[in-house]
Amino acid sequence: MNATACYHCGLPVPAGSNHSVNIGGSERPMCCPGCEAVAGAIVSGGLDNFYRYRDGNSERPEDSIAQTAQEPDRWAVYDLPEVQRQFVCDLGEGQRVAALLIGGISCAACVWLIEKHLGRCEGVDKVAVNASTQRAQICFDPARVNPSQLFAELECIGYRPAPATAANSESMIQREQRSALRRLGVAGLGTMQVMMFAVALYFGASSGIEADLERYLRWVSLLVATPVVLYSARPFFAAALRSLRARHLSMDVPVSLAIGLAYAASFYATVFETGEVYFESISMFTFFLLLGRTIEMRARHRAGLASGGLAQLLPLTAAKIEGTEIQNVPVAALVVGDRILLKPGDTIAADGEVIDGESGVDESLLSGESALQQKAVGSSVYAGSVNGDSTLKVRVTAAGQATRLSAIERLVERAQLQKPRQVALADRVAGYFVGLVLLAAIAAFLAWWQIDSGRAFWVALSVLVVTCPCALSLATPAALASATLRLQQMGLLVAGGNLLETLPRIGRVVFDKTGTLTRGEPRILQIVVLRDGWSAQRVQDVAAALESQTNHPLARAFSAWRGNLSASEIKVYTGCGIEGSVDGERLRLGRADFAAQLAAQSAPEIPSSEGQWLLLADSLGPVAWIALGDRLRESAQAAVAQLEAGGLEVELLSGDQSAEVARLADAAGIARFRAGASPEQKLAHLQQLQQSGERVLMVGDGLNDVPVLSGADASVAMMSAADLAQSRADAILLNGDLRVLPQAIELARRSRRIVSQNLAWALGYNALALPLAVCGLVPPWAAAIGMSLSSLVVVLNALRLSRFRVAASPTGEKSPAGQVSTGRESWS
Amino acid sequence: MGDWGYLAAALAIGFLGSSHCIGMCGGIAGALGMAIPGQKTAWGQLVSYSAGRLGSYTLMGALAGALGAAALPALTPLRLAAGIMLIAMALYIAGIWRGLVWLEKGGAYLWRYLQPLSARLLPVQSAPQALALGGLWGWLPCGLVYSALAFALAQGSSSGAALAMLAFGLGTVPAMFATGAAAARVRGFVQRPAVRLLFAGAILLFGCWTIWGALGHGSHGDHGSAPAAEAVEEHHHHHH
Repeated sequence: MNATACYHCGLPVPAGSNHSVNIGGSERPMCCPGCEAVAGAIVSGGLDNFYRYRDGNSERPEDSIAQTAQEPDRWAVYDLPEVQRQFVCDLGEGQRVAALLIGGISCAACVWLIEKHLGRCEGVDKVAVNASTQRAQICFDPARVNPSQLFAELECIGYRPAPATAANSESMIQREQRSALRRLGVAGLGTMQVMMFAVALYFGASSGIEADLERYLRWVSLLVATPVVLYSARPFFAAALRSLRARHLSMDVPVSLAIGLAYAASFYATVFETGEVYFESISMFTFFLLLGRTIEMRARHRAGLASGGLAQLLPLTAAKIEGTEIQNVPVAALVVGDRILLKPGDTIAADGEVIDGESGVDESLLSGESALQQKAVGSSVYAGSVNGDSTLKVRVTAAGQATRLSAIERLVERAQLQKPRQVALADRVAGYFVGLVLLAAIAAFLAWWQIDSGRAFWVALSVLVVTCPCALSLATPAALASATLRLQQMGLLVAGGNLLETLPRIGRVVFDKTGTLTRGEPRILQIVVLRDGWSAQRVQDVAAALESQTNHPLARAFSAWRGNLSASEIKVYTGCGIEGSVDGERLRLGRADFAAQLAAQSAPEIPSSEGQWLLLADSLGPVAWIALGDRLRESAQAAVAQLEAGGLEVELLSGDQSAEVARLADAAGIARFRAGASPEQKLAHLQQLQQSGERVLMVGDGLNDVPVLSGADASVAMMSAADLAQSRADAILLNGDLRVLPQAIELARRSRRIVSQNLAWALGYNALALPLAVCGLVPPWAAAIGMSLSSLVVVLNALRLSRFRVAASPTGEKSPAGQVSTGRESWS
Repeated sequence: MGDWGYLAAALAIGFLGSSHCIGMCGGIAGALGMAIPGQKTAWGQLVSYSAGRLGSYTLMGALAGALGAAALPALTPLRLAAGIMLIAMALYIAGIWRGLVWLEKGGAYLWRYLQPLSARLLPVQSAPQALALGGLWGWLPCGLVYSALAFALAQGSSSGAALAMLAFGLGTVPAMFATGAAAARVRGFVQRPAVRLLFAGAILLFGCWTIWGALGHGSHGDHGSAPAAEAVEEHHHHHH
């Protein structure tokens, strides 16, 4: 009875059959040529993993059915330690944090629902969901709950969870955008069609229409509106259901109720040829709501794509030293004690200690310090920093989620959690309004049931439709979406939902020096000639000739002076400088000790004034000092002036030495500045400002700014900033033109005005329409027109923001974006 | 109703017979990466894959039907053969007699040439790929398809046979679309010996009816299951 089961289909293999396929290294019995062919094709297609992960493995069908019935098995793969390592971080003391990506988050209510639902689960300590990045941080006790159970719980309330890895987030974004566009397209086409029929019906109602034609138009409208309701409006129904399940009234509830009831009533009216049809209102309403949400979502995704997150900054593989061999291993597989090899230009994958070699390392991502840090045997290096000039061997001391880079990210996330959830609050308040509308509709129905039972349903529907909070629910998002889009065109990518709400209240703008006021392009500040017979001009020409053949960032400082001199026999000494012959004379340019070595002399004392000093020397000794420094952005001065003209205080807060900061502040026209501030001091200063009631906009870049960026009321990061800072900031300045900032604040002020106009209109309209509808004075068709018109007014008003112009139109600064450090002082 | 009878029969054969292949093909969506547990099912690909498969079946039917039309005088023996094939299929499904394996082995020769083509399409990443793959995999060596083909061939016309195969293919669609947890549950159900026997019995009945019809009894019968050459011709007029 218990014959061998076919490895592919699970049916018993008949005696004497000799079909088999080699899967995963062993011969598996097959019951028939068909199974043999299928299994063979699967294996040759490289898909034999299927057999490992398919549910209900056919060895013992009964067991597998029992397992799949309970479902957790589906997610069991996420409990494997090596898989967990990709998205779970061990905090110690029986606590772990899982980073999940959650598909299907549409609004603040979802955040609330997920946090409530998961928070109730056994073993879950804390949940933080970010609606704009669709990420959830779940703190759980591994002894009491497994990641797979978290996945199952999320799925159970209607979301699609996935581990938060870069590849996952990208594919999720693509899926969401595609489906949103399809829904929008269907709604748009449907609306256009139905509107045409509706116009005919409106005119028909007033001028008399043939009954046959009217019936025909109604049926066609029904046909066209059906996919709009069933397909395009589905996200609203799904969201409404979710919020109801969480015992919470979101805007989606009356939206769904109105769409659903109006559709049902229109359907009834069409089929039984009685009453009014509302197909055009339903379609139009769906279309406008979808439009607003799609624009908002695209902006959110664009911002998300530009940021990525920490994981993306790290390489995927590391060169591990195994005895005498070098092996490329996945970074996730690195453990403490492994030895890795770092070539020049490699990004370091884990924290470690140098065991061999000497090199300069760019730690700007971690410290904001742009100068290379010299590392020798025994020094510590950190994940996320970039090896500068020569090969290093490193012993891993911390990997994965235990690195300093991860620690900083967690710090940032904590700072983010402290932000007020204005949106969620607004939605909750709206919930009460929604409840009121529903009560009013019921009350109207009951009252009319007594007065004239035949009209009760239509009056109730009129109430629901006419007071449908569409205008209310569109008032804010439409304006915000429109303003967001306009800001994007101006070069400011909005990444945080609260930016437009907070910007108008900003009283002070705080700049961080590096990369915000400067262009990230070095130039010659000063030349000190040490040798008689040399002019500054000649020093420049010679240096330019030496540098002409390197593509080092610092070399750009000389490119403007490229004269008729040419250098030969150029040799680059990594970490030191450059050597070459000009007019038959050997010269060195670079670090003082390196250059002076050519004449076997010791280096002269470096001048004390600002800038980075390079020494030019020949075989007789030092020739000249050249100071390099960064240039102020062309837009900085104008931006500061415009901000101050707009009544804002401008301040410069920097971690650099005072001379450099003073120079920049003076050049940009900033009166208040503070130098040498550590990240902690910056944060303290910021909190002090906030405690005195001031709202602060922080403009920064670099990882050391991030706690400050997150703590500020609003924050803007430059495109040239380290990726991380971008993803935390409320907005990202794409074109580097600082003059966008005052314009953005002006636009935000205007959008606040538009929001209040919209709200006033929507409230006024509802306040007028509701009593009329309750009294039965508004026929349903008028209610429908009123509703459509009221949302149209709101949307058109919001669209005015997208044509926003400022007198001085922004001309993009010609500087190419993307230079992160202000010149790595390495010679590579 | 007569003209629909043979289509309904083909549909039923496909549906009942897929209990045989649900283990083989039901999980295929998962194997092809179109319905991996924990990820969203790629319905577009699944539909394309099925469309490709049905296309191949229809083509097979058209070819077999043309053959049948050419051998029109021998239609009665053909129908007898089809009935015998169906009975063999029923015995195969019930696990009583596995004579059809020999036919499948014959089909495996053809498959040897097609399989390398299909390997190039794996893993499936787009709907057109899935369509092509479905088209290829329609030619998998499968006793069920061969029985249905014999049944279609006995319709005596190319278009009638093509339609019959299309109907047969549609009957197998539910099994193909059962993915993930549902597949496991459905599979567990249909692979129970009692269920298999029941399905096998139904197909056995179809085989008997086909033979009954071939012997000149069922051509004017009002039970829709028995195929009839006249019925096919009628159908022809309705649809062309």
